[in-house]
Amino acid sequence: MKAAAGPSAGQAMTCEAVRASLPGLMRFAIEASARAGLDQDTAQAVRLAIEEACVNVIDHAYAQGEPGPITVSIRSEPARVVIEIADRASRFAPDQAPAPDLGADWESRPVGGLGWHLIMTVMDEVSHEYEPGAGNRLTLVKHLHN
Amino acid sequence: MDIEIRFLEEVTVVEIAGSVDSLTAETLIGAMLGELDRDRARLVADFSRVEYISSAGLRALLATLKDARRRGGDLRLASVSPPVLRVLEISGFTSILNLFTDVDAAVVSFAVN
Repeated sequence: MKAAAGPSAGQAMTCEAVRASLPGLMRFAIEASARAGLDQDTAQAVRLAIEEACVNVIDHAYAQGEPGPITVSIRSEPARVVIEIADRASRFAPDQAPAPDLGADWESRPVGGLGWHLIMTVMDEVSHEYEPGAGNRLTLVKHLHN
Repeated sequence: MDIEIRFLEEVTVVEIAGSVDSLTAETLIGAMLGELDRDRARLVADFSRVEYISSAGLRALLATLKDARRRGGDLRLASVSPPVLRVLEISGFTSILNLFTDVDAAVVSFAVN
């Protein structure tokens, strides 16, 4: 597990994509937001998006094989913050995640399936790239309202 | 996350402090379902010291709510902070959960019903 910080290069952390890495990844999200000077609402959105994306990679992307690396990077720019989550798992197609029925009553509401919806809602831009051999790269952008 | 449980007659108050997320949700659901298994199906979750919730926490709340209502009780939330309320709202949980301004109001609501 390694982390690096720098004002121009942004901040990044790489570790094995397993559940045991989650505490470190989530601590990185909180501390990187603080170092970048993000306001409370933006920091909450960044923390939530990183947790949900990392859990997706750990629990689903590598589910078919041995766990590999996950890299989370955060770059703060004057008008936006950019998060990238990269892995070497098989192709993950986030646009195929089923949309939750937010109007369903409690009895028919499924338990789970909200992680991707939360990412899409708290972030302003979401894009995904997959390159065979290189893996997935999820890019999340949050606009800053200064 | 820390959990403390106290009893007000037939209502169980679950006081939560910290984050309800992928690291802590299993502990919370274990504590709440444990109360349901003791036939204490009227639960109030005191969220006054919770500043962060993720989908794992939402899963814990919904699983508990379903179990409690099927037993004739309910899970009701008290003193939800603005950042947590925002996540509940964008997840459609405010339409299925009963929210109260404080623990006393949530506890009293069980007596009214």
